[in-house]
Amino acid sequence: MSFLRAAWLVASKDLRVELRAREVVVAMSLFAALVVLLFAFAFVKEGQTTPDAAAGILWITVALSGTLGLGRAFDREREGDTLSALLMAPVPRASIYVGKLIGIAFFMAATELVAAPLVAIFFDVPFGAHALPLAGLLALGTVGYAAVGSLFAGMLSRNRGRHVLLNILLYPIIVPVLIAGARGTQALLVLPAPDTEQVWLWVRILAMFDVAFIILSLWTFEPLMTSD
Amino acid sequence: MKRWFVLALLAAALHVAPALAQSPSPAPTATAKPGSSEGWVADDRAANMHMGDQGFQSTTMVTASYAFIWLAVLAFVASVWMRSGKVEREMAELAERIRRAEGTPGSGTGKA
Amino acid sequence: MRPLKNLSFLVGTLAVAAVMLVVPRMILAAPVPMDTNGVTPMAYAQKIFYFHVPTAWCAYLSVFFCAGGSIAHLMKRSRAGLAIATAAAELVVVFGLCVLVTGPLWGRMQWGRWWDWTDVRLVSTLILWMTFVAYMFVRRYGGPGSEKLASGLALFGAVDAPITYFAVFFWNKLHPQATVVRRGGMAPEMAKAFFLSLAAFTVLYFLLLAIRVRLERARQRLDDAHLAADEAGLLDV
Repeated sequence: MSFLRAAWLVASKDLRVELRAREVVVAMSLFAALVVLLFAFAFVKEGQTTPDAAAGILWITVALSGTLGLGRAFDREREGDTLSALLMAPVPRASIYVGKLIGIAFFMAATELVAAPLVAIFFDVPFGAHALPLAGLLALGTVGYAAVGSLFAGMLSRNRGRHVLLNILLYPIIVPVLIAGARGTQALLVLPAPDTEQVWLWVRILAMFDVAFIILSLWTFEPLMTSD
Repeated sequence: MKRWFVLALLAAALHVAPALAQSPSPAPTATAKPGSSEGWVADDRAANMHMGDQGFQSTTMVTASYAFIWLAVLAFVASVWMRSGKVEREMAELAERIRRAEGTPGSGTGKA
Repeated sequence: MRPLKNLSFLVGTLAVAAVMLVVPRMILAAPVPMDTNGVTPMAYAQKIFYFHVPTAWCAYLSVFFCAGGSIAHLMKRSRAGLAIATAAAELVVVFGLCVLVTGPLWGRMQWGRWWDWTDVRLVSTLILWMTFVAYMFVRRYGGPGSEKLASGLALFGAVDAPITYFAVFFWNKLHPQATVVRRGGMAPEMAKAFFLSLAAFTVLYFLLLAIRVRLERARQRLDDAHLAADEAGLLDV
């Protein structure tokens, strides 16, 4: 079985399970909406929310709901001990990782479809006018996040303290990606016209993080997931 | 264990030699070109005394930084020192237990 | 015999420590920067540079060793690699803390505020430091299997920091350049004091690394002895 086909099978399995249960994406979206609301309350000034904060809030929301999704998605694998079964399959281990990454990235993308409009409404920012570049930034950021997140969540799936540890491990590594995404989004919202040069700069930085994280994950997934 | 002393001595030589060579020499010469408005000038201790509050604050910051680094390093050494003490105590304790167990007939055959 | 060995380590480290008290003399003698207003009182704070930069160098060197040890541990299951990674991670935290404390002290005088979010060096050092604090946390509270987790974290941390640093450094032309070393480079006295300090800190770093690696190796041997004694049934009594 080819690498990509195995990866796609794992991803489509995750997506099919999710389509039937709808548990993870609903939980993530609901949580994302709550986070945006909390931030909206926190940043109200004279009856108005501060548009400057919108970019950062969008990315923090993505990060927080992403952690929730990662934890739940891998808990599901743990409950039936299906992750061990998956790892026993006669396919390259790295393809399992890529499949997991694709699944998580889809969950996060679905959540972002809820979070971004909410931020646009509550913080009065024209995300709609820049939908395409914003989607590009979010896609790159999501892939970077999911790349590190699914590796760490996978490593932690057998650990008792996984919910605490996932946050502590993931955030220091992912902060630069969040900064890049937020700065790129900010550049997009500059008035009167988006600062295209800056947006491109951050897009390239995000792409670089994605490439580095994915290469490193593919390289370390095998030894990291081997239990001894 | 000798090599640690060698290292330490090396470090000592590394520091003391240039410092001693430096001390009898007169104050460093100014390197700012006469015409330019930026550059490096000799640290004149006497002038430093008249720098007022901000000069004092600057010197305090430098001293505080240096002191902090040393506190951190010493704290680290102290912690390693205490932890090795603990490991050594545990090793002695284990050795004692093994000796007692080996002394008892009928228990244990292997050699740890 | 053992306490004696331990003592010599302490003596070695203290000797270096004592000797490094000589370095400030040179730093005091080094020239100060002068700008269009002449020598301002704030200029004296520039001397933090002489130990701020060497500690940063040690911290980054330590990241390198931690990543190297982690690779050896992950790929070759090397326990020596794990010991080096453990020791180096702790030293990243120690030296990183020094960088993060001395940086703002200097910034307070230079910029008038403790922290500058636009300074990518400061921010990337903070992120790196957090990563290795997380490393220590995982090793301490991670439970069984935490060594691998921590090794993975160290690798990602080691890749993360340079990207953050170089990405912004090369591509963001808006970023303010380093003001520590001004145009015209370092004056000869300044260079002498700086490189002396750098050498001293590097030697100190390797000494600290050595004592910490030695402790970790002793711990590993203790664990092995425990296991072996247990297997031989010597600990049932």
